[in-house]
Amino acid sequence: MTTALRITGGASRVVAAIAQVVAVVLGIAIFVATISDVITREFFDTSIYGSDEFARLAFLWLIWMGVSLAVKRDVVVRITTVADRGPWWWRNAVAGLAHGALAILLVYACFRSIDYATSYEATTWVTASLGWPFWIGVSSMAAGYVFITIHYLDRALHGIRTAREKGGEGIRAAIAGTVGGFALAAAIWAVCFVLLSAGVAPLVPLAFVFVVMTVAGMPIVFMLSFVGILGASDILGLNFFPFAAGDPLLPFRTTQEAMGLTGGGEFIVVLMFLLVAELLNRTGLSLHLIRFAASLVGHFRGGMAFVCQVTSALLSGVSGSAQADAAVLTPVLVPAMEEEGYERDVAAAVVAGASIKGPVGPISIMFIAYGFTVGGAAAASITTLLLTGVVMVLGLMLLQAAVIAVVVRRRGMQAPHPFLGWGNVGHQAISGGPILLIPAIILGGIVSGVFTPTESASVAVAATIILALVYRSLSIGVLLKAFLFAAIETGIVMLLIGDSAILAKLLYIDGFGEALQSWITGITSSPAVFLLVVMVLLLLIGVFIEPLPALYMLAPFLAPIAVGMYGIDPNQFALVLVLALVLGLIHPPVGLVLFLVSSLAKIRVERLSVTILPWIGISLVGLLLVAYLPAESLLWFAHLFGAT
Amino acid sequence: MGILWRILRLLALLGIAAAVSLAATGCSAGDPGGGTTRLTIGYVTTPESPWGIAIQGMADGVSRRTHGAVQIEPLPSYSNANDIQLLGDVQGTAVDMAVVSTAVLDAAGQPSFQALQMPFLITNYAAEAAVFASSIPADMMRPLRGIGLQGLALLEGGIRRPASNGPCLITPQSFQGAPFRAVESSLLVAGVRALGADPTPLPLSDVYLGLRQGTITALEGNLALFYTQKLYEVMDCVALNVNLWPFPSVAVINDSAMARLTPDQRRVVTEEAARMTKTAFGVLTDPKSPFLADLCDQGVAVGIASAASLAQLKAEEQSVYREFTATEPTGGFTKRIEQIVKSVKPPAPAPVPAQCTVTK
Repeated sequence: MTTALRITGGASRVVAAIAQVVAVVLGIAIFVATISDVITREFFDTSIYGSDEFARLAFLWLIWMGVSLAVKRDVVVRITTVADRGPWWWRNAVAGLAHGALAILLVYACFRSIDYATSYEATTWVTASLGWPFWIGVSSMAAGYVFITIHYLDRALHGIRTAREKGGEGIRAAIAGTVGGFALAAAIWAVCFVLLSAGVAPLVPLAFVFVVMTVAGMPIVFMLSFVGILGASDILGLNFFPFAAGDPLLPFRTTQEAMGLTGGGEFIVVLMFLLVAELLNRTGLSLHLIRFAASLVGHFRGGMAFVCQVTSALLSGVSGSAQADAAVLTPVLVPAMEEEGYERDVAAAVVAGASIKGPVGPISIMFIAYGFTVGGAAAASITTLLLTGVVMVLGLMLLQAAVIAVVVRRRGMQAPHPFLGWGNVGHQAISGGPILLIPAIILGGIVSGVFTPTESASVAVAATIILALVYRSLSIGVLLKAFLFAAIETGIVMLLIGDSAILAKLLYIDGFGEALQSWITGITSSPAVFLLVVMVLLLLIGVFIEPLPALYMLAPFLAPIAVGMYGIDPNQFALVLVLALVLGLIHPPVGLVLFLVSSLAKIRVERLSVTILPWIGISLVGLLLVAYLPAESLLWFAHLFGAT
Repeated sequence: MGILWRILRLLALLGIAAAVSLAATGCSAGDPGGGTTRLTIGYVTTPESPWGIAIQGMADGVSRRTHGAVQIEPLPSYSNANDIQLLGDVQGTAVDMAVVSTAVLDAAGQPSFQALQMPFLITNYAAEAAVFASSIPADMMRPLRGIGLQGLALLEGGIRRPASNGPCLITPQSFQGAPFRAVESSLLVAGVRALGADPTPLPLSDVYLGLRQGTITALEGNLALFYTQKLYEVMDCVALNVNLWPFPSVAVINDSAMARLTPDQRRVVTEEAARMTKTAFGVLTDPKSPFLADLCDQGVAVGIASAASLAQLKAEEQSVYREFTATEPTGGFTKRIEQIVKSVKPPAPAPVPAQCTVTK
């Protein structure tokens, strides 16, 4: 036992060291590749051919190294509501179920990801620009799963040693864990079997497995891969999607492709904005921002929460991503609000609620994707959507600010200090002014066409590094740590996004969209009721599926019905669909932003799931307004600029 | 102990319920259609595109001729318009059939189709139809058997022309240094570079934003693409007679899907797939095709290059020609295509709709 522990412990340390070096080096390489492209294009009228492809492949490796480090450092989120309650045998049985499922997942994933890395596709295909073999990117997954398995194996052996040291009590716990875990797994299998045999849609038993395994304490970061792989498999008589059973590499290929192997380069923005957040915090630059904001509105009752609203509205014009906005805002504003008297979970809810402005703002990837996806008479104007995004962001900001006003009043919060005068505001503006220029640089660059949103994030990193040097608050150690922790956080976020693509693809191929179409048209002939049904449906789907894959899956089917059969304005329907799906990001139990914020703010996701409710409520009011206001009044801003 | 018994009882009940349900449904949960074979076909464009229309026509034809025994279900805008992902999925059998752009196949170890897109080689649909009617497509598709796929037909998506969100690209000078979106294909990137532009390989999903923000100022595409992807919102001009290269796709079916069909059904699927070639050409050459008129209605100008400019642009592409025809099978296929193209008289250009603003 001691020898085995020594081996796994040593292996775990070695692979963690490798992962750290690879993550930091590749993080720097991605940043350099992206920023160099902007520089050469602007100053030498040429782009660096293949730099985006290099960045995408490096990003894949960074993601997997980041996830393995998150496991090593035990910063992956688990919901332990059920696992931590009840009699000892129950707790052990639930833990046995979660650990057993994780072990099976990891062993299978190691086997299949190595299979994928040595497949015909990986060894024969080459990348489009650089002509590099696919295995360079594909093998990152195998390395990641092997590293993760080594870390868990080391932890499992430690658990066994602890159980042995406890003697009879430990043995009883182990037996209860093993037997109980098997019994619970058998019960779950039976439920799925019955549901599938009864002809129930595969999504229902998969959702059941998802919820059960999540509350059993399986790490959230692996839940979507677990359900996705299960859905694509034919295991013990459970065949959820028969068409996928013959392609065991489908889930692994889909995840890698979605995260950057053959697309998904836009997600590099997540790494870059997380890096900005890390740098702002680790160099103390964020304090300058907080001081400036505090000098301006800090004397209001609950002022920092209002600052959060304004900042998130500005950020929506910068990132277009809720995850990136939450990543920037959480480390800066949650502690600031905490200092002002908010509980940490309430402060986290304010940030999580505010961050949904990103994907409905003026550079929303969702709006652009909608424009590509929906054609014909149901097509929406991308320009109109982006311009209306400005109105939606402002509307959401006002609604959420109203909730803050109510919260502040109900909690009896007092103004923290009197207004310190415009002199103080000016002083803080001079002190923090250069940092405030970062969003201005980004927005200016994007609007003027100097760089894309993805590149804008690297420009933001460069600007932050330069400012930190100017403020003399940056050392090599701080810089490397910022890259390392940004890689870990990116790994967690990106694996969720990549794995959500598995289920999205399975549902898409299975014809889920068409089934949905026939179901909805059978319900009502009223546009108002149709919109209500669609909104409820999208909110439910948004709980389980990431907005972008859900949009690709549903929009082509729903939009023609909305426009053709119910006469709804195509632009208005697009806004409803996008906002409803985006709300899923903050919706318990599995909203991605909830997990991101809970992970960054170091609070339990169960607690955040409760404190977020007022923000979901007011956002739903916003959704109803978007759905039921006359299209003309909703789209006036876009029409002002001549968009149709 | 009592609790353990209760759990065991519950499990036993669930097991019995499962067995009863299975018996009741006659183990037929996976075959609700009572003998109907459902085949999926993925493609990256929208249903309104020539490929989408041709695929729907095939699906209808197969359903009609097999009396509903074979149902083909189109999957448009597959995987965020990503051909490489689609190819992987049809090869892996998650999708039964696919219509994949030939441009991406060289990266997937299938260089046979490169010759179709040699710059300024096939510049009209009549010539391309003649090529497709020859034995060349069958020869090009044969190597697909080695990766578990069977090529069914080639179908055109629309001749690619340069478009810009600035002055029309109708002279060699206008291309110089222009940040130009190129399809992720070594041949087409080389083709763009030879024109003097700065090729920027971008996935289709990034093109709109790139044009809107000025990261790219030009791209090559066909009229259907410009319209169905709403690029007219961010572009000013399309050079109508600068026919750079065609943009064909290959319809494939994997061996696993073919094995599920009876010999008669295979024949029907193969014949209806072959009809897609004609359908796609029909959409593209339809004088009532709305794409150009719709683009003009949206304010896009039409550029017409002079004969001298066209000759100069063609001369600039000679280096690409030499580079890519030096290797087989591209060299051999190019020679065969050249012979066919020479034998076809180019049709007169279609009249420009009255509402279009023409720049020369």
